[in-house]
Amino acid sequence: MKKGTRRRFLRQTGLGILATSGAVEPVALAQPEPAAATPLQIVAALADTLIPTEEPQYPGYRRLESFNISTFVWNQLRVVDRVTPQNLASFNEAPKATLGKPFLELDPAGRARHLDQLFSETDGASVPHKVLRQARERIFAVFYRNFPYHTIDRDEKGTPIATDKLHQIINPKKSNIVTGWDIAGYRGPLSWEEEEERRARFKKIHWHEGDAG
Amino acid sequence: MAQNKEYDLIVVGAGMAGCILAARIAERGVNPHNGDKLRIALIEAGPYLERKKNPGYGDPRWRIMVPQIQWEEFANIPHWPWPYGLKMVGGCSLHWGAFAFLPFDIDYKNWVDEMGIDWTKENMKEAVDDIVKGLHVHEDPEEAYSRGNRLFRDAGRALGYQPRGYTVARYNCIYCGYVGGAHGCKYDAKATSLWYIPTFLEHGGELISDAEVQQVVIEKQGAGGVVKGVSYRRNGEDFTAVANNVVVSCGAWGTPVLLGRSGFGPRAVLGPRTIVENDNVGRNLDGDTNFDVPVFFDDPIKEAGRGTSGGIYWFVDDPKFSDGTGRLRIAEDLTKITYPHVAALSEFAPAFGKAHMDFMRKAITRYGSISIGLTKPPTHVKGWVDLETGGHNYPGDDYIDQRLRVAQGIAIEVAKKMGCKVSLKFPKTFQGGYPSAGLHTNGTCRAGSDRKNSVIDQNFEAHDVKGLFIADASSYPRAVSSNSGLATATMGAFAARRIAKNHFSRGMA
Repeated sequence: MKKGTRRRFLRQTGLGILATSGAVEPVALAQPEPAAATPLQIVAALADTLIPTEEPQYPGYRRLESFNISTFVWNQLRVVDRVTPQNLASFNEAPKATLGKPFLELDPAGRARHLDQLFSETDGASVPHKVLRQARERIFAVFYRNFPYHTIDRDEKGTPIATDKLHQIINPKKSNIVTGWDIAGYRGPLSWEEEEERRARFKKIHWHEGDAG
Repeated sequence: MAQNKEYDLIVVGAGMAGCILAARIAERGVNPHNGDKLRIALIEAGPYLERKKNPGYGDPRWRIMVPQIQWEEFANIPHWPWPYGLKMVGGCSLHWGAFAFLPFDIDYKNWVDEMGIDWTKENMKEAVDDIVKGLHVHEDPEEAYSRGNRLFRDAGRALGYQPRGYTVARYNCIYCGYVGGAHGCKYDAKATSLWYIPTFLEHGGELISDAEVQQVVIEKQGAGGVVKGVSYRRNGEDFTAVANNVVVSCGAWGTPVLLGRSGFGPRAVLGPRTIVENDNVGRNLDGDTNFDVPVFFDDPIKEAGRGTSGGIYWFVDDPKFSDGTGRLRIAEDLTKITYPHVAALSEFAPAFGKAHMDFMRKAITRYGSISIGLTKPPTHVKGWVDLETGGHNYPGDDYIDQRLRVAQGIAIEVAKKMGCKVSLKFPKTFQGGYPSAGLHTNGTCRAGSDRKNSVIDQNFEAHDVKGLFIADASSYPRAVSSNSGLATATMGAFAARRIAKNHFSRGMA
């Protein structure tokens, strides 16, 4: 990542201001506090179960917490998917009936067992099941869309601004950030050298130099 | 209201048909009284992103930006709203896979037989040739095929079908794999009617971009009406442009909405706003529908993090019908890039945990889908466009549901032949009904010899409004056999010839 990219990202998303002002609640993965369970804590714990982090083989979701990924996910869940804090609380409380503790108090194995139970629900009609489905979709979508390089700069009209900072055109290996794209082996747009290789190949097959039309 | 500038012809909408039509009339037409060059305005609501064309290399701005814009992004761009897509000069013509299907024989036959118009293959040949040359229509080279392409083709042949390669409209494609996964092309390889704009400008045409036409000005005359020009808004200011001839090319949804706003349409809908009545404006919506049957292979079918762009398909007709009703298209989507989030959310992915992450390490080279579509719905089922909102409605039919299930069965059979895993799900949206003819829509101002069931005649002129022409996807009366982009382009080229010949040739009244 080039110098300043994270700062710019935080500025663009407004998360930097929130973070420095204390408005972003701390994400406590290892220290569950059920009495004060917040949506951010629940989202973070669920995401950590869905995409676990176990270095070095599994560079998962937790790595991106320093980029406020849970804040981003929760905002998307709340605004786009209409998930309420009460819905999340219901999800958190659900395992009490079967495992004796809320989700945040379970160890990783217990959390996984609870998700297995929810996924096995045949009708899928309960609130915890629906929350799990929605959150899973959102968490995977955000993570595997290359967070935190997923944003596109826009002008005042909302039109994307072309810059050389989009997505992984910058080399993530330089910053030691492993994103969903890296795990999937997705390389992003072609480099100039790759383009040239392809042009050389297809110039031998089907090519017309000059303008179209 | 700003000044009344006068023109011989105004074209509203610089999309797939509008750009081509405007260019060809500017090139061929003359003032019939004195032989002077025509004064033509082409008015477009969106911007004109003029750039040097450099097919295969692209423009620096677009090189970086375009491949990252997936369709979801358009919902967030206020002036490029989905579902209308790219509101800009060149319109939606540069999108998705640039798959290019000219009308098939059955399409011409349907138009002629059903509506009594002379749109035969022979009569439209010159226009079709124009499009083939102008948009560079050709078949993908075999060298661009991936392993997925070949597996699909071989399976189809083994099952007794006749697979063939897609025709495409691209210029100097490097087969990067993004062609089906993003609207535009950063290498400027996808064909676009934008390519016709230099011709339009060279022949004296005036392009007015970023200008939303509010109304076509129609005055009552006898039982019908007569065109007087258009009113439009640009940069917050209102303008009027005067002309005795106006071509509307705003698409299957946009055109009827503009006409309704102008007082031309069904009295039952427009009420006291009606100036000229025609019940068919916004009616007779036709189109096709598609859904994908996801598949997953044990071994890679495409390059890691890349794709190619070839494509194989075949048709399956319903033997009960000779007019193509029930025609299915079975195609593959085993070549283009797979975005990681798509694979992550696929039904083949484990629900969560390390197993999911292990799956993701190999998913994007093995995931794909078989695309199935019903391209010829039954003739008695037609939808309509809401003239206020542009929303479209389709009543549905059990037969459509049955044919889509037949198509799904074929896709599953092909997948088994290829030896891959296949989804057995049928989309809930289609079960027990058919909510939308959402793709490749057409027919909402269709051509015909009888004004009781059509809006325009075979020369693209409105039955009821003198000087009003309609040339776009709304003009052709029945869905074509596949993707409709080139059929729409053909309408532009064909209408230009008819309008130039009938109205802008020396000596014409």
